[in-house]
Amino acid sequence: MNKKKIAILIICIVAIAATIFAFDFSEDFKKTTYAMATQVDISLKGKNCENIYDKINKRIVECENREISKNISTSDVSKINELKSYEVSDKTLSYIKKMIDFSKNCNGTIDITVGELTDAWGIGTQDFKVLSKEDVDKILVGVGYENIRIENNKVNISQNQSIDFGCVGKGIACDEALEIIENTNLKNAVVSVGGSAVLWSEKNDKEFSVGIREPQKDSADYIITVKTNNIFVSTSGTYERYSEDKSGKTYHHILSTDTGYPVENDILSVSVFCDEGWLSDALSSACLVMGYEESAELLKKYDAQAVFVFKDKSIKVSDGFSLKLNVVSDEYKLIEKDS
Amino acid sequence: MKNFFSRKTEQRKLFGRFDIILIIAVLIICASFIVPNFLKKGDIVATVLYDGKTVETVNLSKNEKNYVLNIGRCEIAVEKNEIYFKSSPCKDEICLNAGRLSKSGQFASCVPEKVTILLKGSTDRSLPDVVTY
Repeated sequence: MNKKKIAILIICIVAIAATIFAFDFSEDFKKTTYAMATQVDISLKGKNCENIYDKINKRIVECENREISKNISTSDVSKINELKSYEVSDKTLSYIKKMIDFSKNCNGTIDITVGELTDAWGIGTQDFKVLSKEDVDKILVGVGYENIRIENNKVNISQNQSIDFGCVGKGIACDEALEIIENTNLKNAVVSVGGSAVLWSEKNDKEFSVGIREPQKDSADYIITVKTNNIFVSTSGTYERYSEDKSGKTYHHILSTDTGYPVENDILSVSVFCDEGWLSDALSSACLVMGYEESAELLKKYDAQAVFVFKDKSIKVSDGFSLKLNVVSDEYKLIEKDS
Repeated sequence: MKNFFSRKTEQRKLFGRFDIILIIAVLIICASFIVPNFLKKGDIVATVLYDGKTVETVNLSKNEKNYVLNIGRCEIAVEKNEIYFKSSPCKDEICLNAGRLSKSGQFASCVPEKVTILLKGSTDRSLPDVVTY
């Protein structure tokens, strides 16, 4: 090959390579839908995406209708709440068992028997109410995971109890989505159910970027990005849904199982990264209630990592945080461990 | 003398006319993919979804007039460089509280009414894969 041909070949290769680099020829399959009273965003890459999207969407709706919703009368949870004793599917049973175990490990900070309490506050509905201490104390008597009795697939609860999977429902939906995704030939997939998400690539080699939304009622910005491989993430915050009483005091939707009232501390939001969806959701709520120092042991026990955003606009990460974190907002400041 | 000149001309002309045409053709084809992306850079495009389907796409950077979109039972105001929920029958008003959206990566949703606004820079590839909230 003479010099001329080599030169032409090099010019052509460089031009085509530059084009491929600058122009993203591959298009993701993206679709938004609504389930579990929230927005579901599904982004897939690979073959047969439309069909896989339908399967994921169907499974999430099924999970809500058949298993964990307390508002849909056909679900296992609704039947338990109505009859106080009900034979549930293996799936529902496995999630109830996981949550009982989790409640033990966090000393009841998160407890699925808060159904009567969340109903009274109107959480998960459009009618958030502010309760009196007297009302709250009466309902609190029924809260206690220790009173759930399991015989084979039959779940029994006390007469003054009802079950609410609200604090882990979105994470469970992400677990269910992954079960479908793992049995396909997709290259990668991101499923977000109301801000809880699963990020997955076939060979666990893709570096994803997770944005953490600014925990302010009137913001649509993200303030932090975290780079990670395959992972589940959930965020709990006190900033989005809340109500005011006559004196102007505000009440958000994350309740303390000790007081029966929305938890009050210096945290605005907690984002938890770990290997299971239900767990990331449960841990983010638990950490928000427990606080930064007190939740360290729980995070360690579950091998999870967390990002805390505080009311004074400082940010702290959990012990041993190994993901690449970048604060993209000038208003927020990362506080290093030793400072 | 004649031979000398023709050899020199051959050496100077590394590429013949056909080669130059070929190179220019390749460069033009490549540029046609790249250049529009760079020209569009900075344009913020808002996509409005209703029940998961795209019902409106607005290039906010190029929009010059103010108007209101009626999507389901929500009113969405479109202005130069901005878009926002103007009214919604929902009680939690999370969508209204999201305020005016103008930057790539911002989004606001009215879940009860199944209306979502997403903003994306036309060539922005630095956005996160997902935003947790």
